[in-house]
Amino acid sequence: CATLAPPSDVAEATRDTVSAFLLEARISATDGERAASGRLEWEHTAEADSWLLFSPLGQVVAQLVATNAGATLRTADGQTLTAHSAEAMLPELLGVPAPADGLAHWVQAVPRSGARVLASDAAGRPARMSDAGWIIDYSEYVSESPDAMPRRIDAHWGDARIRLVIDHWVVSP
Amino acid sequence: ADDGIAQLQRFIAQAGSAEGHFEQIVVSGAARRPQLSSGSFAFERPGRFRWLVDAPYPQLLVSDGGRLWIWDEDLNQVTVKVLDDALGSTPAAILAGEGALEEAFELVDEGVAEDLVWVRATPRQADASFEFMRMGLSGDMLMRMELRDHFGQTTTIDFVSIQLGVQRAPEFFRFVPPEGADVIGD
Repeated sequence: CATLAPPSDVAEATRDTVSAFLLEARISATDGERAASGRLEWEHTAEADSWLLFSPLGQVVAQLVATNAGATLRTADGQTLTAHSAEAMLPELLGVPAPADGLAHWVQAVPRSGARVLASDAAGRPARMSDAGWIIDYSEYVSESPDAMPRRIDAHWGDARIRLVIDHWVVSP
Repeated sequence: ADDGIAQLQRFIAQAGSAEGHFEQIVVSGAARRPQLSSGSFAFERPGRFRWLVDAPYPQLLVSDGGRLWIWDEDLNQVTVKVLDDALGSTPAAILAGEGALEEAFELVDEGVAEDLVWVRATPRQADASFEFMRMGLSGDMLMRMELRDHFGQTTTIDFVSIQLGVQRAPEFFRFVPPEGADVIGD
C-alpha cells in the first residue's frame, strides 16, 4: 500500500517541484578520472525528460530521452542505446552515476523524500542538502526571492562530482 | 567566380596563421532558442588555435597542437583533452588542421549562393561528430562555416573579420590554469 509521506523536515521556506521546466546550463561532471564538460539543455515534463549535451565547441554530443516507457540515448557518432529507465542511462550521458529522479529535485533545490536539508541560506532556501549519499551545495540562486531557482549547484559523492551553472530557466509551475 | 574548392585550397595555402572575430548562431531542429555567441579566434597551423567566446558567457579554448584546454571562468574549471580525439573533425580542425583537407574530408563544390562560393565537406571518418560542413568563400577568404550534426542542429560561424599571417609567441597557444582552478581530464 502507498506509504504516507513522512512529515517533511524541510527548511523554513517550503519549496515545491514545478510541473515542467526547461533549463540551459553549463555542466562539468567527473568521476575523478574522466571528465565531461559542456552545455546541457534539459526539458522536464510530467511525461518525459529530454537531455541534450553539447561539447564546448557547440556540437551535440548526446541526447537522452526518457519516458515511463523507457530511455533512449543517441550519441554523436550515431549509436543508439536503450534502457528501461533514465537511471541506467545518466551515467552514460554524464559520466557519473547521478540518480535521475534525484537530479530533477536537486536542480530545483527541493528535497525529495529521504533527502535532508543540512543548511539554509538567509532567504530560507537550501544551501546544502544530502540525498542518497550525495552532498549538494547551492552557492547561488537566480534571485533573492524564496522560490528562486538555483543558478550554481555543486554535487559530490566520493570522487564523483557534478557542477552546474544554470544560465536560463523556463518554468511552468 | 573560381570554384569553391580552388578558393578553399588557396585560402588554406595562404592562411598559415590568422586572427579575427566571429559570430556564431546554433539553430536546432527542435523548437528551442537559437544560441548566439561571439568572440575572437586565432590559429596557427598545424594544430594551434585560440577560440575566445565572450558572449553569452566567457569561455576559452586553447590548443598547442598537442592538448586542448577548455577554461570556463564561472565553473572555475579547466578541462584538458588530448587534441586528436577532442578536435576530431570540427571547425577548428579546418582552420588549424595540418594534413590536406581532402585527407579528412570529401569536398564537393556547391556553386554560388548569398554571394559566396560554397564547398561541402563531408568527413571521411564515419564517427565524426557531425554530418557535413559547408564553407562559404569570397576572394579566396573563408567568410562563413555551417556545420550540421547528427541531431539536425546547424551551427553557423560568420568570420566577421580575418587577418592573415599574424605571428604569435608560442605561449599564446598554451594555457596556464589560474591559481585555485580545478583542472580535470588527461
